[in-house]
Amino acid sequence: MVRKKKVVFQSDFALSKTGFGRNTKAILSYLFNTGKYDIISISGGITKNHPELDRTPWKSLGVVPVVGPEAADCNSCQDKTRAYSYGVYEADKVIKEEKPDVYISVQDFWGVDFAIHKPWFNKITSAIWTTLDSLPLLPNAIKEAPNIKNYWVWSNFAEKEMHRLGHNHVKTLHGALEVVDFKPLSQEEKTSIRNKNSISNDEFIIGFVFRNQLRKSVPNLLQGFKIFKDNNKGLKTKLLLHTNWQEGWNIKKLCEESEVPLTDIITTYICKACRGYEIKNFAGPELTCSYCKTQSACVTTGVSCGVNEKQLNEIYNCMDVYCHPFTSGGQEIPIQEAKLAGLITLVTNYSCGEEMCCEEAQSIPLEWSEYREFGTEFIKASTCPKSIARSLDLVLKMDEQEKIKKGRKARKWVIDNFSVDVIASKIEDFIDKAPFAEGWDEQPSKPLVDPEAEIPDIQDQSLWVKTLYKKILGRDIDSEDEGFIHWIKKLEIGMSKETIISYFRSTAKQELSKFKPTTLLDIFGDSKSEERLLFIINSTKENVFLSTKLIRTAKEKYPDKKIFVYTNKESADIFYGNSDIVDVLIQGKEFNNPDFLIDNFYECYSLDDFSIKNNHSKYLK
Amino acid sequence: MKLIDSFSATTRLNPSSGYVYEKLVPLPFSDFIILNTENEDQNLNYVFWNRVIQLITPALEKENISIIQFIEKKKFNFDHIIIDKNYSIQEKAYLIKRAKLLCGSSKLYSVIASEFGTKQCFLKCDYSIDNDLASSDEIIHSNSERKSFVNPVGNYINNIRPEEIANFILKKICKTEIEKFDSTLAIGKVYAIPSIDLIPDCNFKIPNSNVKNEIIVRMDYEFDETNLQAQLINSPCSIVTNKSISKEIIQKLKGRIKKVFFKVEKNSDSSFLDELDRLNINYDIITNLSQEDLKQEKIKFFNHKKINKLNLVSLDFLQGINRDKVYFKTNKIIIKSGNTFPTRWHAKNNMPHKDIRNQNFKLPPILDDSFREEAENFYFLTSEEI
Repeated sequence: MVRKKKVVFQSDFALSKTGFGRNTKAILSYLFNTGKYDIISISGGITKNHPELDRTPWKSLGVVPVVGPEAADCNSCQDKTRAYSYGVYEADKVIKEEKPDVYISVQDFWGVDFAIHKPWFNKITSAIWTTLDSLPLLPNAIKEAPNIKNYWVWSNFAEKEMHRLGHNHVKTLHGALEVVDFKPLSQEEKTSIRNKNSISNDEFIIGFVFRNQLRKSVPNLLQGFKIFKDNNKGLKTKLLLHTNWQEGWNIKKLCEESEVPLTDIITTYICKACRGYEIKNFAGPELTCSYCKTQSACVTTGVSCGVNEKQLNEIYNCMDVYCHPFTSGGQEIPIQEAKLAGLITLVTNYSCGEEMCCEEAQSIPLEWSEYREFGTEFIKASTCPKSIARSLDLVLKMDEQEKIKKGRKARKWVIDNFSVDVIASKIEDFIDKAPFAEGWDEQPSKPLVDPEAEIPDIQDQSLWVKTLYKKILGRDIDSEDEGFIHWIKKLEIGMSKETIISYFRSTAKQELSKFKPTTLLDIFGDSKSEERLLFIINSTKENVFLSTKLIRTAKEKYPDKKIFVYTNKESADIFYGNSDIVDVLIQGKEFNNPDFLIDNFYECYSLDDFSIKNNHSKYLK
Repeated sequence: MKLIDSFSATTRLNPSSGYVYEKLVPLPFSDFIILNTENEDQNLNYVFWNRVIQLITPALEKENISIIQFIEKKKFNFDHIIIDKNYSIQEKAYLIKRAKLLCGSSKLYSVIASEFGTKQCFLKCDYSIDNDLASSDEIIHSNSERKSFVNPVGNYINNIRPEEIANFILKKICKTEIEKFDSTLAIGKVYAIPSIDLIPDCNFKIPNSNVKNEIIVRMDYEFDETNLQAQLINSPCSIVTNKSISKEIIQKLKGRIKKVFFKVEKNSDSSFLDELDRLNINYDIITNLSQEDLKQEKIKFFNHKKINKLNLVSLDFLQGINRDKVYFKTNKIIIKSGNTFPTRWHAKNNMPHKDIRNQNFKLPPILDDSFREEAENFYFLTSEEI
């Protein structure tokens, strides 16, 4: 039987309601239906062994640990939590076990860059498919470009800039959309949905579907809406904000500031119990469901609890116009969904919005002014409220037939450029052209990364660059390698060898910087070392209890000595109220140092080393 | 060599008495035993405590001995004093010292009981290190499987039959002769849940009762929408079906449908689930299909929910024992043609019984997949001495 090509796809879990998750679902469903591949999804954002993982017809593996030392490490700081959530620590294990032919990693750049210098990355056919949304582009995304043979970006905004910088191999591959889910409904259906949600047909509904986060320009939209309303007195209009009110922007407060009454704002509530949705004014974080009557079950929509695609299409079909002001974005999928639903879309003409504003896309471009993001110095767009108001006016006064015509063209543009059939077939082609990976079993087990490796002074530039790769990053490369070509070019234009070595060493250090546990020794009061005895027992409570039998004997033998115990936090309470002991010490790497023990104690009884760790009780008969 | 002897050998200190501070816990009685029914380490947890407690309680009551339970969080449904993880080890030590007996798998409690000379029934399940102090007549070992007994969890401790523990406890503390208990063979995972399966060639009204029954209409056995509709009017039900049910019935009576279990078979159609989604009706997806067949069906259903595989209970525990002495109890009643039956086999052969929940039933002559599928509802015992 012919072996199927094995594909590891690393991104958000296919059933999560994020843009990456929906892309995973669309792409992998398509690839699965070809019947040609064994698919393994490293599913970001979901816990290991989560029951939902079993729903997908392909193998989905969770990444967030819930028990053991890994879980403690995951929760130790925000950066670690994020890295675990992307599956950074899972990829090596999965690649080693599955031995894939193709690896595709899809995420923001900081969620994929860990893979680039893994020994397996260029050993098999690998691709990085990432979102880059602001100028200047993320420095690391540019720096790593030569090291990524198959480098795909979600928007041609990033492709254009990469090409300008000389990285002509970077290509645009849009995130895939299941276009069948979104379509214009008939007037009767639209009326029925509006009636169900107490929205009359003469109300002009302006919609915005977004995750409530900094880069979505809610204040600008509210200001624009206010101007639009003031310019159209007597018009019944509402702003439909399909978002989560418990995170991000304080919409209530912004409405007050912009003098937009909350009664002019409607939002979507989803019931956690029956999964029904309602569109209505915001009336608090948890409401009773009008359908199933479950109390406190209705919440505003979010990533963890949202509407399904069919419901979302109904919500788009409630709108008269879709307005998407944002500071920057990788693809902004709701813009394409709105177009599929036949809506005229108003889009900020920056970042991925530039592409949405091309002629065929039929958007109305929103003007913006530049500001810089503190810390990153990225260019961001502040959308002009007056432009929002003017564009809304344009749509309000637009002839109905014209709207339908533009809506159809926009829908066609999305289908031609974003539909799963178009995007996934490109990936299918990429996989089919990839060779079967060979030599997995011959792989020596070592990451050869060595930031301090000595580099001989080699005159031949090619050999010198290859030596850097080999000795510092532990990788063998050939002269076709993008990275190799990049560094040779740098040498040719005069970059110093020291600068290049320094880059290689810092990359290697990043690879190696993982765990550095540190602890501190506490004091022994005013006692002298010859007055002190120490019992070390870092073990279970029952073993610690057994140690009290020896501590009592030691106390009888040395009644004047002060007995200290070094143990773990979990077992320390066994010693509570034990008058044989002066103090119980917890943690501290000094206790593993024999010199420290000799210097500080008259006698030291290390019960772990001699009895427990050596399993004396089990083997000594 | 025991760990304490190893400690002694390596430190050249002879073990003296152990020490743990005792902190008073006021009690409304003086005679009691301690059952350590739950531990933080799941490997130490025993799943048959209900049976043990049911067996020992009559004898303990006769002798006016109460039960205290040491737990973490989970409470068994008995009127006992509960000592949970909020109590300190010092308070637990106080109780262990005063107990007539300690029974459980915690090595810590066991070594404290040994130190205090409290009688114990130590359920030994951790053999990694020899660090307990209990004498051999105080230990029930768990590192060997019992004949014809199903360990539902797989960890050592659940190799022990509940009757063994009950006998051990009563022998240690009761003055009177104790009765012989029939031996447990296996307990189905849903035995504890009272349910009624209606094969809808009829419908029924349930009389007022203290028992809360889960009523399930089995459209996968008999696809009769008229009786389904009538039954839904009679009482709220769950439904198992492998086909789409009429939209009108579902829509009209959706408030009476507790849950739908959609049974996926080869070439199933998922459109019925779209309808359930539209009407916000709760459902689960189940199947008997093999992994290979299921893989092809999953792509149609993964937008909806996970497909749960139905379990066929292994009846290997019946091998090598006298089947005539085996019997089972059930909390599930099957209703067909207006009669009640304990199993589908009884229904098929028109062998109705009354008062199903208070009877013991002999095994059917043929133990096929149908019986194995419903065996999760049964409690199997034998009167044979094994």
